[in-house]
Amino acid sequence: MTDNTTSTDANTRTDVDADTIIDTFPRVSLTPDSKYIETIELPAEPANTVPTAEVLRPELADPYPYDLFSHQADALTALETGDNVAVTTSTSSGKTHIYGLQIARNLLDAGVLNPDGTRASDQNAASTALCVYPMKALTKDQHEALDELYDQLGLDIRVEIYDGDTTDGRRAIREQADVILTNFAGLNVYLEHHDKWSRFYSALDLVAIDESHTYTGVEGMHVAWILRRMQRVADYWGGDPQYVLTSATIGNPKDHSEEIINAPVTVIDDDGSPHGPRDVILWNPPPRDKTRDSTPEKESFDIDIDDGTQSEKDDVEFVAERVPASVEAPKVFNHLTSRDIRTLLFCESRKLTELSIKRADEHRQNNPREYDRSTTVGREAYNAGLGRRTRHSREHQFKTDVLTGLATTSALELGIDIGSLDATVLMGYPGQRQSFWQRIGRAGREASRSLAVLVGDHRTLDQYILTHPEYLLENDVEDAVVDISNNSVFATHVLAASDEIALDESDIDTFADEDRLRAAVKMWREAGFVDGYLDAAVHYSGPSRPQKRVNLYGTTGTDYRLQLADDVDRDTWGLPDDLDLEPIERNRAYRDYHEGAVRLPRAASSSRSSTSTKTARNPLSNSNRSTASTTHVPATKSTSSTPTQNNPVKSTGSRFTSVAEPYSSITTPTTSSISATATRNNKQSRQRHRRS
Amino acid sequence: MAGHPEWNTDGDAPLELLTLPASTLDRVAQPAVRDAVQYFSPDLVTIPGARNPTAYATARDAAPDLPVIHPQLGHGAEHIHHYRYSPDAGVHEAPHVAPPPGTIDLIAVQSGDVLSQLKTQLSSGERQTGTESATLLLVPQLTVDWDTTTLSTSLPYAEQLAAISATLPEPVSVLAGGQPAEYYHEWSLPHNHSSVRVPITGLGASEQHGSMFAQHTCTARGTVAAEAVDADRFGIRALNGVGQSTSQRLRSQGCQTTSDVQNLAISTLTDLPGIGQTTAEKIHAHADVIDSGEPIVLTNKTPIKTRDDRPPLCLDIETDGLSPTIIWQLGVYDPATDNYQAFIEKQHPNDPKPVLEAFITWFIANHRDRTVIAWNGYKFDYPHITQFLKHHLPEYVDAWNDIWTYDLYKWAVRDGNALLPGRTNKLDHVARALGYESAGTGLTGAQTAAAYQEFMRNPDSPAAEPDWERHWAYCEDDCRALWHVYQAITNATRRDMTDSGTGGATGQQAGLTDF
Repeated sequence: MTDNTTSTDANTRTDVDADTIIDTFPRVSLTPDSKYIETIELPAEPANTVPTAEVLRPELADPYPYDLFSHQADALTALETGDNVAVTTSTSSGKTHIYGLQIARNLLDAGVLNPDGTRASDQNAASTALCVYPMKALTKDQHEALDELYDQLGLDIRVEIYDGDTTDGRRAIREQADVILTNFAGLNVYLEHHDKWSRFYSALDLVAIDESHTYTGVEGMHVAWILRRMQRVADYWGGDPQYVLTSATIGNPKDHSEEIINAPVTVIDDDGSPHGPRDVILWNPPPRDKTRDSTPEKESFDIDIDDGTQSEKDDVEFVAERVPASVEAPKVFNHLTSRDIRTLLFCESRKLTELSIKRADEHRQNNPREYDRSTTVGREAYNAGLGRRTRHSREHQFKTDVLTGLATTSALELGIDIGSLDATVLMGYPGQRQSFWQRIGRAGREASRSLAVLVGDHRTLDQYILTHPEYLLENDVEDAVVDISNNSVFATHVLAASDEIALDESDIDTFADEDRLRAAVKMWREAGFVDGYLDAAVHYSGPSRPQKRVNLYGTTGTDYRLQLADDVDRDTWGLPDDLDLEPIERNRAYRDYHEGAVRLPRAASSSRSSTSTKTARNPLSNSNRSTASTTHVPATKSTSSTPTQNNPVKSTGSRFTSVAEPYSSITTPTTSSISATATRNNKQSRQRHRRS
Repeated sequence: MAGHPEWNTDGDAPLELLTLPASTLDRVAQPAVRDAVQYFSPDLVTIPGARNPTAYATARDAAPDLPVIHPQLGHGAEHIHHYRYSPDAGVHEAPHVAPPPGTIDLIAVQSGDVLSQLKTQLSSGERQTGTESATLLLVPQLTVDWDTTTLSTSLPYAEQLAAISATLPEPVSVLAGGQPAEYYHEWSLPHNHSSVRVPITGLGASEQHGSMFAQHTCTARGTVAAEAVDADRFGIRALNGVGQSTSQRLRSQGCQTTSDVQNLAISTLTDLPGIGQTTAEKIHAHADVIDSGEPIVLTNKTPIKTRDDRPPLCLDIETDGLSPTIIWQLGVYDPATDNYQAFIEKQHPNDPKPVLEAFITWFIANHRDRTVIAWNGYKFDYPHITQFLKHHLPEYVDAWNDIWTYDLYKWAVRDGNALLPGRTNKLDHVARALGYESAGTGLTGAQTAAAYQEFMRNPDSPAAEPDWERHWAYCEDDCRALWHVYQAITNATRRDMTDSGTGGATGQQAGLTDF
């Protein structure tokens, strides 16, 4: 965002100088000249701005509190000439304001708003906008951001979220909102009853697609087809929108964007936003001493003694085994946060986020000379498995400086507003340059210095990068790939499209090219799912709601809810009444919550101190086996139960490949003290057969 | 109400073929199967799908007087079963002689592999079929496969089916056991450097398609029309409130039919686990309904409200398919004047506006203060009218929204305010069960839509022009049927169970009848 109204501004800033960080790290063998450390300095970039009045009309330029960044000006100018625009500049470069301002222009032009910003009439059948986001958390953030913008501009614009969480007032939103915010999974389903959206689509002037670089692979294919179906529906009701795509830096923004929206796109990639100097530390963990008995338990006690043997090993080029990044990175994370440096630690899995907090705490406890043990540092894990309330509260706590650090998955790679931060630590190379730059780009505010630490893992690619940093710095970022030539995905969307509006020859080359469309229609007609021919009309005639067959994330569509088993004593284990964990997809249920699995929820903070010295158990161990002299970390276990509902098969059936039954693995929890039961929470109606 | 003789399947009684899927037979009690056979009253019974001797035995027991076709068994090395049907003589096994004229042949093969052999027999004259009336080819496990990766379908034995179809002069229709009961497609199969038209109808073998029994009506001209009914609408499962376990318990008490249940005392019913007073009363009421053929209203709610004491208008529409591009017929019957008015698009099927405009202007001018009912109107008729108005005639949307519109099907069935006789909830079945005599157009909804689709593809071709009179009569028939059902409901006895019914007009609140 171009403004920084977060309360972290008031925070006393601590030096994020790389050398200082390295010097103060509690490891005698570690110096800035150490073989395992390399620091790269990236220079600052100043802002490149344009006076707002040169681009926007006075009604908007006057109340707008900033100058525009050059890329914002470029984008707004391109939009004015009718282009579709893809903006690929860094996070916090004001991309939201680009489409926010364009929407304001449209509403003024259409006469929905008076020049003074008041509404000309209560109804709006003249200009609407649709904004689509990849995550609900982002949707909420952007809702606030747009509301804030329009407040500043003094414009009475109705911005509303419409998604799975919207329970009340859906009809009012459809019929009255000026701007609707949603996600593609929702849009896919809402297209079925597009007649209820006729006002909205007839007036649709703008579609904003945020974080569009995330739409790749299977999800990208579905998004591309959902947008094509939406275009048919908008066209049917008379809407003809412009598109704004915002994206992180990718190698092929033009191709990718044009593939997604099926229309020409002007790319705006010359970033005018500023950032301060950046230090990137390439941090290779030390060799693991093979002579020591390095059990996993002991490893987390950071006993780094400079006994001379270490330096001999330093001379050896090839190191057989290093401390893993999953052990080393939390130490760096602790070091930074203990120095009051606001830091994100990016981990590769949800479990590692929880584990990293524990390890960071241990590092702090085990180095009393460096860190003040009598105080605690606020650090929490953050991932998509946490319940909504927990996630919100942690975002907020970080933003307001109650927390100094978050250990997160890629969930925070995108632009969720958590305020500003000064450092990022990457637990291993994320696999793509694009992801690397996006993660470290989260740190830094205005002109101040920021820090990024890449803690390499003992993997070939990580080790290569650590010794060949030019791999990161001198090569282009990767392309985002969307392949709409996948016929199976296409065929599913043909069914949905025919249900929404009968297909006919006008769809040739607008929805899909001729050969493919004819082939798909012929196939479905012969298979019995559609009726009719393209030269008149092709109607959907299969089982109802073909939109439900579109599975954006390639999952089964069945979610499992996690809850504590009845016989669990919450107090003993220090667990909150409500686990507040997100429902999980079936594959994850079997992988992470099978009987005997060990999970690490964060206990309520009051009891944290009692668990901090305890060790992690081997996740595969049987709960009955006790480990001598260590107390068990509270764990949630789970059993999978057979689906509790059994619907006798009723309606006209389908010949779709049926989902395999989950294997009935009812085993009652044995002697484990805690268990969680996964109860099935059906998202889609599936036909199940009851065996009598 | 007499219809034109030629509308009714060429005046000759068609061949009725009942399909009992094996998996459904496994699950459904014997008395229910007998009930189904009695209801459908078929000429023959078939069990498509995989070979299943138990199912075959069950079917034979339920229909001892009818031929049961299950060639998968391969009895006595017989791979081909050949039946002949004529309205006078009924169904009989075909000897190897020339058939009399006007005979429909039904040839069932053990599997598709036998088709080549059959073709040889037919070509050589070793086996003969009637050349004037259709021949039906039953392949018990024939299934259409499709591949979304290559966007193609494959029809097994297409070559043989085409060859047989080309060999015989009469129309040939294929009955594919593996396809859903409502599947119908006219395939164009390559044969000898040209192509042959082969219509394929599904029989609905597997339970993936729902546990349905399906009756196929086959005419001498080769048309096949399907009617599928849920297996649970037969036997005592047909009773509202009787599930699988309850029906088993009732059967163990000696109840075979709904009449048996009707004769049980309420207290016997409430003795069963899971059956309370209200459910027992509902079961009894439903048994009475099935027995008498008369509806019972369960609540104190009325289906509609009117501004005055005039009866409601009965509305029905016809579209070109389930994703309509045109509402091409709108019919309104006014019981107050016994007058029926219809609006049909006969000239420009690609322009939905004129017919809609004619309808809406007439309606607003003459009937805007009347109440309207439709069958499943909330999910079909009204949303489509609204959508087309929004798209083409937005200036009339508000006036249309002001009309008092109701959905009789929703009130009676979905909201549970009444119990209706009839094996399905389709309007024509319900009306027929309530004693309505249909005009007998012989059309189904699917055929109507298909006929109009054909017209849309060839609007200038006389051959493609639908029989407008017949379609007019079909729509009028539905409207009058709706009126008949409405009257039956409003004249029905009331038996207040609880005030659990919802929807419709707010009548007086009923008290709970518990004792």
